Amino acid sequence: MTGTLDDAYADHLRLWAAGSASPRLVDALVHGGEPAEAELLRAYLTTGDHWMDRPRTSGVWHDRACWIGARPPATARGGDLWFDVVEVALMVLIPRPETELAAFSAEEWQALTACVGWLSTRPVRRWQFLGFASVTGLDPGRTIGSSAYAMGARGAWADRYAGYFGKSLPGWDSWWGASCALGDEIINTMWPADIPEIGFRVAEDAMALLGRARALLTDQDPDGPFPLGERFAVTDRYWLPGMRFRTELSAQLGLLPADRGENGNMPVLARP
Amino acid sequence: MIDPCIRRAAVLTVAERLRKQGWSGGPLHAVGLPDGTKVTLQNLLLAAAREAGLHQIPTLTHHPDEPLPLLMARDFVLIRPIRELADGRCVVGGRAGRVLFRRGLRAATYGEAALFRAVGQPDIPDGAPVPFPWTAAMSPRENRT
Repeated sequence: MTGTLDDAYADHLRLWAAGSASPRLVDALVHGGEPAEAELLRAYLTTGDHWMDRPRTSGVWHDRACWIGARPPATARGGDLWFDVVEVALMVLIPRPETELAAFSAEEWQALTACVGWLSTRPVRRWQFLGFASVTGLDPGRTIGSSAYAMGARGAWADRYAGYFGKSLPGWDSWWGASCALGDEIINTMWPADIPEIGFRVAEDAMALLGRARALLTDQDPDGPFPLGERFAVTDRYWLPGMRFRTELSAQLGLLPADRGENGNMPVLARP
Repeated sequence: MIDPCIRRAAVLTVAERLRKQGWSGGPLHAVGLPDGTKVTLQNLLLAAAREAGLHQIPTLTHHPDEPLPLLMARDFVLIRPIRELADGRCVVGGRAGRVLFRRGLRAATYGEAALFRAVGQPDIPDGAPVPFPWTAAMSPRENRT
């Protein structure tokens, strides 16, 4: 069944690039054990971009305002949800911690935003990564494994996946904001086990390795550095098999334009 | 910190590709400073080109105030604040002085990209001076149009 979902997701991305959506993916999501995503995508195919009148988000996200669309809403408040119908991912808007906002100077209010950005509520699923790999011609071999999540993706692949959707990989600022704004129950749902995640690029050839305990520190000095953790090489040759990753959309950047393949002459398609 | 052996291997991997295929892709991006020096944004690529024995590579030199494309901006995030001391000197991290650039800031210009990448190097100790004379090259954010 997983193979069916991989294929349906790849078709969804291809069709989206051609300007249409894929009803087939809804059925594949239902049969693939993703009923919440299926319901939200069905709502989009029926109504288009919209705020849900009666939020049907379930579990820890119950009753939160949820925008369904291909792009984030023009206005939203911290804690609101956005179901990205292209990536098929539920994102939550992370506000900056109050201690950080209180430390802003007048100039910083011009340069920075009151929210860090939209953070995916779960890591990338295996079917999402394999569908993306199929569309972009990436050959992950057997490195992704059989977990429900895309585990074992190399840093460069994770970066490319995020770039395809006009997004990036999260950093410590997103998790600091999340741990300050969201309750323990939600945090434990978003990041249930101490499995490290691939974070943003911290150097030309290095990605951050986000460990749960370090990323979720709440008592940080807003004028200090990030709680610097490990970093690992980004090149295609090196990888860590036990890592997951998720996407975020920085409030400072918005949706990014297409990657024109300036790095290593490896062009990557991007969401229209 | 990344094991220097891994970094060296990454340089050799790229150098091998350059030897086989020659230079491909876009130019090397650099930032021109007022004193005539250039700061590259792609150290690994430059090191690999040297390793491969390439004597000339296409380079695009940007003015420090030139806006950075959004796609590149996501890769230039400040991870340590830059502070200005009372005597006007700028330092990486530390506790003294006022915060000039806050952590988490995304670079908006090529000058900021070079600056943010430079101060993110883990071998620069906390409180050390900013490693290149960026203030003479860049306009403060609030003065930009």
